[in-house]
Amino acid sequence: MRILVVEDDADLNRQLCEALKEAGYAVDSSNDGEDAHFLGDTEPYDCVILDIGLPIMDGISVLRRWRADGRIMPVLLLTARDRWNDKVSGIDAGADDYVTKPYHIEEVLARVRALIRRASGHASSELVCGPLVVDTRSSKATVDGKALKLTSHEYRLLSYLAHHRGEVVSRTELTEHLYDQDFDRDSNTVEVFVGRLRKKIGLDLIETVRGLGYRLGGSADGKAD
Amino acid sequence: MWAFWHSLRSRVVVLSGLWTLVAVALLAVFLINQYRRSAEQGFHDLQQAQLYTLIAAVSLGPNGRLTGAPNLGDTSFLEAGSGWYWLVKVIAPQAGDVLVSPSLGEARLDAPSLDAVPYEPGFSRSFTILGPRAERVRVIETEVQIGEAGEIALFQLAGNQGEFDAAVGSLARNLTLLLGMFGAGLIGITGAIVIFAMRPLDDIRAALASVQEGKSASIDGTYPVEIQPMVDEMNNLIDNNRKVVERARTQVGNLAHSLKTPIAVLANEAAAGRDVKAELVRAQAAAMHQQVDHYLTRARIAAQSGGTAFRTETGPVLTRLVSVMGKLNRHLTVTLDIDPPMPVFAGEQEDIEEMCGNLLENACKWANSKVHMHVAAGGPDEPSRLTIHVDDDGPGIAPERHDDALKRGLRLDETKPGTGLGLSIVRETAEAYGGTIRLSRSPLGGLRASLDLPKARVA
Repeated sequence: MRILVVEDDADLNRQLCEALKEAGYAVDSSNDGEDAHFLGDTEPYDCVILDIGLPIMDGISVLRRWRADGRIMPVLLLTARDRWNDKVSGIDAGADDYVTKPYHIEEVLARVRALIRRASGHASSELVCGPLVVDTRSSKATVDGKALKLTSHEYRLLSYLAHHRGEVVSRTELTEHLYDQDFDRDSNTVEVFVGRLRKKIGLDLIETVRGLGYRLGGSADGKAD
Repeated sequence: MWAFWHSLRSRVVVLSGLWTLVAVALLAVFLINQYRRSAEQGFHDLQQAQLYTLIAAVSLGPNGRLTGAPNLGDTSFLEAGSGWYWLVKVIAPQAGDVLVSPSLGEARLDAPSLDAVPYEPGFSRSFTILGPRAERVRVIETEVQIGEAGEIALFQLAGNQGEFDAAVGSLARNLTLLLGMFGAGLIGITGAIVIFAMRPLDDIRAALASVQEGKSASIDGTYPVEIQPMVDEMNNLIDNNRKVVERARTQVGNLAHSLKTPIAVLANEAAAGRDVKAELVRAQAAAMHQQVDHYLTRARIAAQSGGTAFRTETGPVLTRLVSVMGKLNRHLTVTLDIDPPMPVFAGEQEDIEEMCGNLLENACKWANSKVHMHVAAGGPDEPSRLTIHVDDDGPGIAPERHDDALKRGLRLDETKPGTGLGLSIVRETAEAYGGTIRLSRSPLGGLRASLDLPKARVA
């Protein structure tokens, strides 16, 4: 899962990025509206955390332009102004949720999780694929109740596949959602991670669709397809 | 009396009324006195002339008898008891001859003694006495040598003083009536002029009330040249006041905005720490957050209470809020119904958004599946109020804790916006408008929050 953090205060930006990385997300950051608009317009983010008060172009304008251009990723607004008119304007401009400053990082993480889940059509924070359960709250996965020891990249890949369970996800798409902007991308590493995950899960839940990509099988009621 | 004297209308009407009364009274006294003096002079001249005619017409015969048939040109001397008499009497040691007018007959005029009314130079005197029929008569008398042997006769001529008095009285009455009517008309005209002249002030007062109620932004209309500059100045003041309030509000917002980001940084930085210092920073950051929120609300309320009143149509504002809350809480059904005709809140849009937004946010936080907002105008007993109910089907609050939930907002140190029910802002804002918030059990099963607020009059 890849997140864009848009916040002009350097300290707050750093704190958000660190907390999100710790929670297993690939994170890009931006500190002005123009740059944020460009990133959101060109990179496939799973969620954007967007401050309203930004230099060059304010957050609401950035959001309006994204939506006008058909960018539908979930957007969580950060607002220091707790006037309802600002919140309502933000939601009307296309935001999916808001958090009022000052906030607890945990609250932001919870909202981000909920937005990503909602965008991929999941109601629960636990994504169940047969015996495999991915808990987005704790960023952990279990198979038949036993915890898997995953690196952050492995968790990110598994979480993305679990959010898109049953769908074929291409290597390019996976690469775009697993790494942040600065990472030296190499699609071959995806195959390495998939191989490691298959071993750790122990079941053949991750299917290779030749020429297209990967698909995570397993039904939501706990049985493997 | 104080209030009466502070009315320009009363001052002008009373002062002009008093002056009119004094002027009319002085004029009446002057005119009546002038007339009386002139009439008295005329009466005196008439009697004098009649007396000379009488003296010329009567002579003393050799036998000591008075002769002559005086015609004084007035038939009243022929009519008995008319008040017009003449008498000529020879003054002699023995009773001298007497000649009288037919009107006097056997009666005589009861002249006062010479001591009481002495002769003036020229041996004449005048006095007023009661005549034979108790009528007031004015008598002029003189003694004239009439006979060749030096005989002297007393000539008396009486005129009806009552007729004279009646004529003067009639004039005085008519004059008083006319002048009274003139004075009353003058006072009435003055009052009408004052009312007409003051009408623009009433118009300004109505226009100001309209501004106060938020129906218009400034004092509209054209006024007389003497008043228009004042109206222009008032409009400048209203406009300036609005700008000052808006500027103050923006400044407070900017201050809060600039403080909130560093507070968030501090709180988050300390969140990971477990030592005493981290705990201290967390607590102080939380306290700063509360202070910022508290004074932000205070500043908003203060700006609202001192400024111009506003009108906010509840429909568009609440529809937008409910729609947003529905979007944010897709697992809930958030509905709104407003009783027609749509009530207009007598306050600022920002404030009703703040109150209703917080109540809806709370309700959505606790609801299982439904949140409902209902807006109703006050009943016949309270036509100037409106009520907003926010219901949810959540767990609710036990009735004995309703007061506690509301009390918390009153004490800053116990208010925890965002963590508790957060009703403090709603309560403070509602109270600033003279409104209330009540908690009760909702028909949906959870909590009902009811806001009672002032309703604006229909424009």
